[in-house]
Amino acid sequence: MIQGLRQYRWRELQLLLLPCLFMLAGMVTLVKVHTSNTGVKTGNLPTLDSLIPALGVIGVLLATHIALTILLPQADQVLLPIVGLLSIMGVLMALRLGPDIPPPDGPIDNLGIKQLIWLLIGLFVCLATVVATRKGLLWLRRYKYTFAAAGIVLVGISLVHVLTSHINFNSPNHDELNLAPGVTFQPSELLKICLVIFFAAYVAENREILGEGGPKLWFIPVPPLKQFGPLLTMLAISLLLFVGLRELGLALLIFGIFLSIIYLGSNRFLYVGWGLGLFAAGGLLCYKLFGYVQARFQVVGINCNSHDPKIVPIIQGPAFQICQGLIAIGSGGVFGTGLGLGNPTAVPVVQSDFIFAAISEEFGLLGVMALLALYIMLIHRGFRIASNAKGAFTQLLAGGLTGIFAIQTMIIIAGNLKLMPLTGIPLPFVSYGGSSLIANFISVGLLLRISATESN
Amino acid sequence: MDLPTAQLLFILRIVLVALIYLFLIQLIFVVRRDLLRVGAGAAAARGGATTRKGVGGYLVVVKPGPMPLRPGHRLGLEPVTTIGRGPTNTIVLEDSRISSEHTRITYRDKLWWVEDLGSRNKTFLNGNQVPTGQSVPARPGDLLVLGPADGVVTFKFGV
Repeated sequence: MIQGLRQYRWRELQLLLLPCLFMLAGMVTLVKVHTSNTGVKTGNLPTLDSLIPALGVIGVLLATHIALTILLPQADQVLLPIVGLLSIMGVLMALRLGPDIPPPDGPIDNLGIKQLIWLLIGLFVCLATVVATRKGLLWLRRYKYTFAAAGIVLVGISLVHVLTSHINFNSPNHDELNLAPGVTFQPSELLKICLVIFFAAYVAENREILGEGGPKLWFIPVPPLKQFGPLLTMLAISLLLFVGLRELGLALLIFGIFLSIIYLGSNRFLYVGWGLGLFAAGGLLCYKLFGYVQARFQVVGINCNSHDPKIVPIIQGPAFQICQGLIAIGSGGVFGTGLGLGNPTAVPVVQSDFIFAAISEEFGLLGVMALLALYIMLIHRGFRIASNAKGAFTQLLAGGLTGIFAIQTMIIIAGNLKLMPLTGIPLPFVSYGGSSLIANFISVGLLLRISATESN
Repeated sequence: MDLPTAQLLFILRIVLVALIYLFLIQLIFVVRRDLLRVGAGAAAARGGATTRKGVGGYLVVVKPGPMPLRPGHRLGLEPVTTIGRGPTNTIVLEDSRISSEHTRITYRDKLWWVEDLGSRNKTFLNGNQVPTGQSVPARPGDLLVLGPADGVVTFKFGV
């Protein structure tokens, strides 16, 4: 009995307390803003009864906590609260933004509830991952080529879908598949995890050789090409297809994961140097070849306040979203307008790509700093799990999965702030979207499992 | 008693952001305690390692030469490991340039010692020839080359 109590995940329960309070405070705010006639706010806000199911978030998180106590009592206790607070932020923002989205896309009154259901499925998938790996993670390693093949199939589905349906390439979600009315699925989200498993398994097996370095070309060291073959093939297939699909952000993400896993595995800067060099060359080539890449970069260089008759059509056209996003971030100031009191839905597709701008507007610089700190804690925790893990494969897997979170967060926030060309990558756990939430929770499940095997 | 809406909303606004910061502070305390515990554990493990018997070395194949070995393959080391062409060796390398008893690796005084057994084409450790009949200590990461100066087989030491 005492042993059982000692095993209980008290720390996780303690840490979950404040996120739950945050959810409650957020809901009280939304209700108060809705019922009062402050005259500050003109947009639509969720009604009281649509808010009550949001209490489900707290229930779902506590249920996961209890399930983890039974399934995996020795797993890391900090991961779930961090991820929980981020997801709560996501549900809260979806609740708040949904009814306010202007036509033709909106209003979507049940956006928050949809996000809650995705969260429920996500946490369930997380627990399912924990159960599926109860006999260890080695089977993931054994089936590495199966995962590579699955990745190729996923990419193939996207490609066939895009090529056969004549979709507008400029639409932000053209790689989504419609499974059922209102249910879309992005194969690329699962592709990331397949690739991390493959890269980690392959690099772990050939680590000693990769660490040794290869032949020398004149005086520049060259990677050992024989060991690099399968890696480069996979990388080339995914990158080519995504450049073909015009998912530049995803291509960047995959490349970033590849480089970080190689670097973590070999501890040699040689590969990063070659990788960045090739990437710069490839990027330059794409810039010369494809008009849409140039258009993306043109947007980065634009001044949103310009009245120049040559620039105004761009601000009204391709740069409209990003300029509106910057206005939203700016109008938040240091302290923010307060939840429900801003006007973030002036930004197109604010609920997924521009959720960062919406949070900056309503929570201000202080809130955004806290959000970034949460991501930093998440990444720190992930790398700590990686460094404590036993065996090269589990270490690289944990490092790679954490790398996904880190690179994804960086790409989308830099895109929102106009520091980098904007790409349609979701902010992990916060952006509205089912596929990304589920894929992220698979990663969390794997990290929890890795953290539990470390202490054995 | 009913608080005016504007004031209530202002308070809620502060509470919302304050809650995230409180959570972060709580998080930092937990993580800090965790790191301190890990640090203490690592120190204890270091103390224990000196008394433990540390036989657990291995060789990693770097260049297999004509041998049917895969680069990256690990060969575990016995406290006395002999390498050569003869069938009695721990690691048998079938190549005419390898002597029948080529090299011996022994574990002594918590170190691995490499010894050339009078081979025709010599043994090299990190490019330096191992003098016949003398033992040279090898550290993890050292490269062990058997055969002529360009090497038939290359191994890397690991512990």
